[in-house]
Amino acid sequence: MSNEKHSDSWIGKLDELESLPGETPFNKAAAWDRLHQRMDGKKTKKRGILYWAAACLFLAAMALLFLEQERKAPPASYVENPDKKKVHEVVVDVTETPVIVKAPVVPVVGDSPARKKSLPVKDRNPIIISDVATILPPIIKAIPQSDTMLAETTAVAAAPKKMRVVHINDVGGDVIGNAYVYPEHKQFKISLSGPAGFASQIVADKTDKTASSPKN
Amino acid sequence: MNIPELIKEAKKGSTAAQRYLFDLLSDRMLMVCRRYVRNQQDAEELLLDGFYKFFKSLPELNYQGDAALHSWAKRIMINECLMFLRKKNAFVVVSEHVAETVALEEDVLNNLSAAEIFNLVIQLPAGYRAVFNLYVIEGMNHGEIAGLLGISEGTSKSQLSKAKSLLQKMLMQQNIEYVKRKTQ
Repeated sequence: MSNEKHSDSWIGKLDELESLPGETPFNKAAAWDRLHQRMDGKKTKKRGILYWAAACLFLAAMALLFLEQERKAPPASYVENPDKKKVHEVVVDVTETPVIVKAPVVPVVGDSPARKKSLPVKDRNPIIISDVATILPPIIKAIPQSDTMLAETTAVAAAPKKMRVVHINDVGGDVIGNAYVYPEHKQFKISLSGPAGFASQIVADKTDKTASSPKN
Repeated sequence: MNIPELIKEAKKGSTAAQRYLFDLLSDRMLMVCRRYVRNQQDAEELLLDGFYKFFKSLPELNYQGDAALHSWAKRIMINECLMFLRKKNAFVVVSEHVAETVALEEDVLNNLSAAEIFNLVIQLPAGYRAVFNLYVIEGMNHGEIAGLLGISEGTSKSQLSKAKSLLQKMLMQQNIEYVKRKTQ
């Protein structure tokens, strides 16, 4: 057993010793209870950790799903304006030889809303395409779509609203001034001769109807 | 129920079988722990730690007899004790050149009872005691002890030498007292 030549008898005796005489014996039941509690405690602790991990994973998955949905769906208030994209659109004919343009002649209205607001629609200088054509070769043409559309819209908005023309006799039961007018009543205009400033008087013909005012 | 069946049941998780194995081994294992750690409460705590590891690693055990089971359990307990001592920095580093072979008076030891030998061994300082236990009782060589305790082989040899010389003195004292007792 040992490396040197030790007598096995005393080593064997020492190895097989189970208790010391005169000492209180080891309380196995209490020790077993402690050990059993420790073993159960570790099991429940492990289970608890697993439950927490599962809950955290579930929450993380839900949060990811929610974020993904948020990212996919655009906001309801946002409406894409198709005209806005075409403001700076320039048609370039690639087939022809390129021409160097010294300065941009076509005034491009800036995107900033403040600038748009400061200039009223009437004061804006219209873009004259013919001018561009004289300066620039016909390779590059600007399409100022948004400005023309805006002008048209303004013109439509400024037109007076047409009212329906109706003869006074066709109006039934409407209030004109303070008097009630009925179509069945014949009206006469009797002009009295006299100095200027005499008011005309409208007198109802009472041949058909006796009452001049409506009866409720 | 014999031990192989008990082990089989304990592997399955039977509390009764585990309790039976605990009752069977705990006394001897507690004495093993006490040989390394003098304090009774520390030894009991280490015994529980050791048995916890024993039951945890029981599925890996390939039963080859009672002696093998005992030595396996003892190895677990010794490892627990050494870990505890290492944490407490219980090993005293001694200069290596002190190592000299000291022969134990085997006849005197053979005449002593197990309890008397035990009481002599546990009086040794922790570092000496650990090396003495590992070398003389467990039969390890200095290389293995050095690896286990994290010390050099020379230190292990010097620790053993010191332990033996100290034990020799104690044995002589014991013998004198023994002779005195016999002559009185």
